[in-house]
Amino acid sequence: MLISIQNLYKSYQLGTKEVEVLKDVSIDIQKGDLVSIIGKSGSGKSTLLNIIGMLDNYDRGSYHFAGHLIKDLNETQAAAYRNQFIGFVFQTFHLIGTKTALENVMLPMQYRGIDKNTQKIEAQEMLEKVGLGDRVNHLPNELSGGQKQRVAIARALVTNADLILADEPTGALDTKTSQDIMNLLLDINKEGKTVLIVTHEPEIAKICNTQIEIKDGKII
Amino acid sequence: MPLKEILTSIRQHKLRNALTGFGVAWGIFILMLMMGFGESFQKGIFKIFNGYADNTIWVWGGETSLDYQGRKAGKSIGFDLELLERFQRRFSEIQYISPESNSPQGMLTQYQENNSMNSLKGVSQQYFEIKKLKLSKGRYFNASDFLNLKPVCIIMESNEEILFKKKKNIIGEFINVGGTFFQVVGVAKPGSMFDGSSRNSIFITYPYFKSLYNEEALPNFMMSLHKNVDGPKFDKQFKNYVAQLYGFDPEDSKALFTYNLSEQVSQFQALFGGVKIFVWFIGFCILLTGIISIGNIMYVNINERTREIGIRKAIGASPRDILKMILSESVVLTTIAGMVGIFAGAVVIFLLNFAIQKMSSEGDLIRGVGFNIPIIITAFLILIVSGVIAGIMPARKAANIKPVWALNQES
Repeated sequence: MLISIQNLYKSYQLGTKEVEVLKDVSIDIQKGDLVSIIGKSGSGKSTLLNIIGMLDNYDRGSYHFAGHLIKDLNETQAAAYRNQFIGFVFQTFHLIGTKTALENVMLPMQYRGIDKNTQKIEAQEMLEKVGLGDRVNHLPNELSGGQKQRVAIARALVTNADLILADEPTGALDTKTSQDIMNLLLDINKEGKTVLIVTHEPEIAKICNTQIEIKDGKII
Repeated sequence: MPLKEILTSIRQHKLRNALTGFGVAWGIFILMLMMGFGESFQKGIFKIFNGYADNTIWVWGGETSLDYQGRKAGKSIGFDLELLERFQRRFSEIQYISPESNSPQGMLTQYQENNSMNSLKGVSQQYFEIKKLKLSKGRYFNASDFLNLKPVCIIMESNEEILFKKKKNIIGEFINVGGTFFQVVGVAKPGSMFDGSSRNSIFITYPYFKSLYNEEALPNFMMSLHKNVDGPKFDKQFKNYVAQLYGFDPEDSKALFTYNLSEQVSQFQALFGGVKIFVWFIGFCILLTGIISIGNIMYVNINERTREIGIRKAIGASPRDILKMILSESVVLTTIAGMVGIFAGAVVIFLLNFAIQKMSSEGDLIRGVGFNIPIIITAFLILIVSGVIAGIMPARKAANIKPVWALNQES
C-alpha cells in the first residue's frame, strides 16, 4: 500500500469561524494505481491533494505513506519526503520564469545534492522523453501551455518519484493539448508510477482506474 | 547556490538593485575617504614630532622656592657639561644629552654682500642626534673643535640659500655672525618642517658659545631617552636625583622644570585613537543606511517571489535551502555594491593623491590620502557581515513561508 488515509479531518480558521474542509476521509491507494479525485470547486479535493503531497498538515485521523505515518512533520522533513517520493504537476505549471526548461527540470535534483553534470544529463533525457528535446534552453515564456506542462511533468519525473500528484493538469490547456498531456500521464502510469489526478472534469476522471468523488469534504 | 543563479536573480531588477546597492557603495566610499584623510592628517601631525627623538625631555633650571634641610630658598639651579656627562653615566635610560644655549638676541649674519638674521646655538655633538638633523654637506663637529675652541659652525640649508645663493662649495667659507667669524664645516637639513627655531639657527660648539658669552652656568639642556623607557617615571627619578644633588626639596616646583615630549605624543595618539573610532562610527552609520536598504529590498524581492519560493519548497527545497538562497543573494548584492564603492574610493584616492602630490610641497601637513590594505580588508569583511545582517531577517521570513500558501499567491 502506497497511501493509506483513515478518518482524516482538516479544518481552516476563517476569521472567527472554523470551516471543516475534510471530514472523515478514508482512502487507500496501491502502488501503480491511476486515481482521480473529482469534485466541484471548494469540495476539498485540492486540500486532500496538498495533504497527500505533504504540503499541508491535517488535524485528526491518520495518513501513512509507504508505511510511514505522516503526522506533524516539520518543514525540513516534509521537504525531504516531497523531494524523494513525490512529483507535482500543477494547473498553472508553476515553472520558475527566470530558468530555462532544462534548469527547471534540474532543480529538484539540485535540492537532492546531485552533482551538476548528472543533473544536466538526466534533465536533458527527461525533456527528450516528454518530447521537448529541442526546447531545453527555452524560458517558460517562450513555450506554449502544453510545452510548459510537459516541462512540469519532466520535473515531476526526474527524481524517479513514486507518486505523481497532478492538480487539474489540463485545466489551462485546449482540448487537443489536454489529450496529449493525459496520454503522457497514462504512459507514466503504465511505467509503474502511481498517478493521482485532481480534476473537476468527469471525462478526465473516467480515464482513471479508480475514481474518488468528494463533495463538501466527504468521500461519496 | 550557484553564483550564476544569484546573479540572474539580481539582474531581474537591475535598476532597483543598482540604486539599493548605491547606498552600500556610498557608505564604503565615504568610509575609505574618511579613514584615508584621517590617517594622512595623523601622519601630518606626527611629522611635527619627527624633528625630535620620540622620548625627548627638556630641562630648565629655576630657583628654589622652599627652605630645605637648613638651606634657604632662592638658590639658582644651573648646569655644566661635566654634570651632563654625569647624568648620562648615572642614568642608562639617557641615550643622548646636549646643552642648547641660545644667543640673547638675533644676530646679523653676513657673507660678502648677503646677510640674514639668526640666533647662535651652543650645542654638543649629541644635539644633532636628538633633533634628527642630518647633514647635506660637510661634517659634524669633531673632538678637536670642542677641545681647541675652534670657531666653526654648522648652518641650516635655509641659511645656505640666503647667504651663499647659488655658490656650490661653501664648506670652509667664513661667515660673520654678530662680529665673530665662523668657518662653515657643515650644512644641515631640517629634521621637521615645523622646527622653526632650528631653521634660523647657526650651531656652534657649546664650549665656544660659553667663552663667547661668558656663560657661567648652563641654564637648560635637552636629552633623549632610549625607546621603551617610561618617560614620566624617568622624569620623577631624574628630578629626585637632581634635588638630592643640589640639596633642594624634591617637591619644590620652582627649582627644576622639565617638559616631556613623549607625554605630548601620547596625548595626540590618544586623540587620534578617538578620532579613528569616531570616523569608523560615522562610516558605519552611513553603511548601516545602505544595509537597511538592502534588507528592505530583500523583503520586497521575497514578496514578489513568494510563489517561486512555494514552487521551490514543493519540489524539495528545505527552509535551510531557502535561507541560504536569500542570504547568498543579499551577500552577493552587498559585496558587489561594496566592491564598486571600494573601487570608486581607490580611484578617487589615487586621483586625489596625484593632484595633492602635484600641488603640495614638502612642508605641507597633508601630502596625500592614505590607502592601506588593512582598511580594505576590514571594509570587505564588514561588507560580508553586512550582507548577512541585511539578509537574515528577510531570509528567515522566506524560509518560514508555508508552501501551500505561497503556491496560491499571484506573483
